[in-house]
Amino acid sequence: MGNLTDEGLEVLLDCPAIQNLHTLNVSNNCVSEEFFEQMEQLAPPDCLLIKDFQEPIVDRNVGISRYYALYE
Amino acid sequence: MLNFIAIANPENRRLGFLKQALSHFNLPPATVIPYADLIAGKQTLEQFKVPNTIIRFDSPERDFEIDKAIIAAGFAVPDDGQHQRISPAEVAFLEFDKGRICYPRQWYLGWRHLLQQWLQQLLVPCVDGVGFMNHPEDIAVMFDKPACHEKFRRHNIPVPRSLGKIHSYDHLREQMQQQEIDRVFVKLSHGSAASGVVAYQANSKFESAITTVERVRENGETLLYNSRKIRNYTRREEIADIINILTAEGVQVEEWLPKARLQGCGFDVRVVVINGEAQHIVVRLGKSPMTNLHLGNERGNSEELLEKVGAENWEAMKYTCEQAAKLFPRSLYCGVDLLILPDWKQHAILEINAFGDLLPGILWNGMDTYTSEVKAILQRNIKEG
Repeated sequence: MGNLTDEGLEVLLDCPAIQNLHTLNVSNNCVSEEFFEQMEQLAPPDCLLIKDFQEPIVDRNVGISRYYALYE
Repeated sequence: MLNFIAIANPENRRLGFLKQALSHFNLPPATVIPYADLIAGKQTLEQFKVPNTIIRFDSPERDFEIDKAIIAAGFAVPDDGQHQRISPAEVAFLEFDKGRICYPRQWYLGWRHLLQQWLQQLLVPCVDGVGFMNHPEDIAVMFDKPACHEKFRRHNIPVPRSLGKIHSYDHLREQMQQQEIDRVFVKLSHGSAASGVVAYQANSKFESAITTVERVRENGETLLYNSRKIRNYTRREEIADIINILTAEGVQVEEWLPKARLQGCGFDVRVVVINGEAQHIVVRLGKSPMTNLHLGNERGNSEELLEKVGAENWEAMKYTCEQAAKLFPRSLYCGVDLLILPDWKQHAILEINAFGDLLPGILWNGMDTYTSEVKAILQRNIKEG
């Protein structure tokens, strides 16, 4: 779980070391779908990108992340 | 003709599944008795002391006013725990604060007390579990994780090793060291849906608490919330604060066992046992140590699971689930959480859930859980009739 945003991922992708990765897992962060679409050109070729469960940054502190537990 | 009585919160979607199941067998809808009415004394269950009545207690979930009433009912129940207490007058002023973990031990004491009270109102002769779908006394035990763990252990049902009663963070560290266990699950004794669950690991160099708990400091006090955002706390001060609050409310602490992996994830299996038979299953793939589906985890492929486990092992696992359910012979159904170890053979029961049958869309022999439960009741009734 992280707080990586579009800006953060852009900085990360600028880093030369990223070019050697075969997998980049940025699941459970706050990257927008629009950015993922754009980043195809920025990401290293042949790098598997895993990007499950992105949340709006606004929900990182409170809001929809909190849940009312069911009683099982 | 059987008369089904459902005790529930009227807006609960579980009632819709029951209605559908009854209609499948051309039975009229259940009479719904709201928990609110029972707790307020507007209705009692004495009116249902008639033959051919089947009573179903369903989950009292998702209604804050009901939670408040249950917490209030727990205030006067004697208990030697160190939990936070709140008087009924103070409860009245509690405001809904989504996700907040609110007085779980007092809630449980109230819930157990009310179930006992409702049982007294009925005193229906209970033949082989018919009369109640799940018996109130069994429900109370199934809401008590340490009691269930102990019951399973005594009956040789495989369970993760328990660390015993833990009173505080320091006590936890001490016991982990003494018992040479470096990773544990800390679970609220009366929590559900991964509420108050911490996957904790520690050694001499570091510690980590992966959890659904969100810790918030407000006006000099700590508030705990249930959060879908799984957090990994690594600062001792924060971890100790969370663990101390949870232990005061009562916890079950047990060894954190490794899980077999399916589709790239650790997983466990929810197995619904109905009328003594392991039936519906859901594979819950965990992206974190917590596998609950409402946390964003996905259902796994059951076919792949069965293929990997193999027929013989799967029969043994189902048998274990059935044996666990058999320890509650007055109850028709339950949801059992089954952990499979990486050798795909050894397994352990993590939990049993009195209301663990809410698995929309999962079928067994063409029936969902609710339909299968009603069918079992009808079959029992025919045998006994």
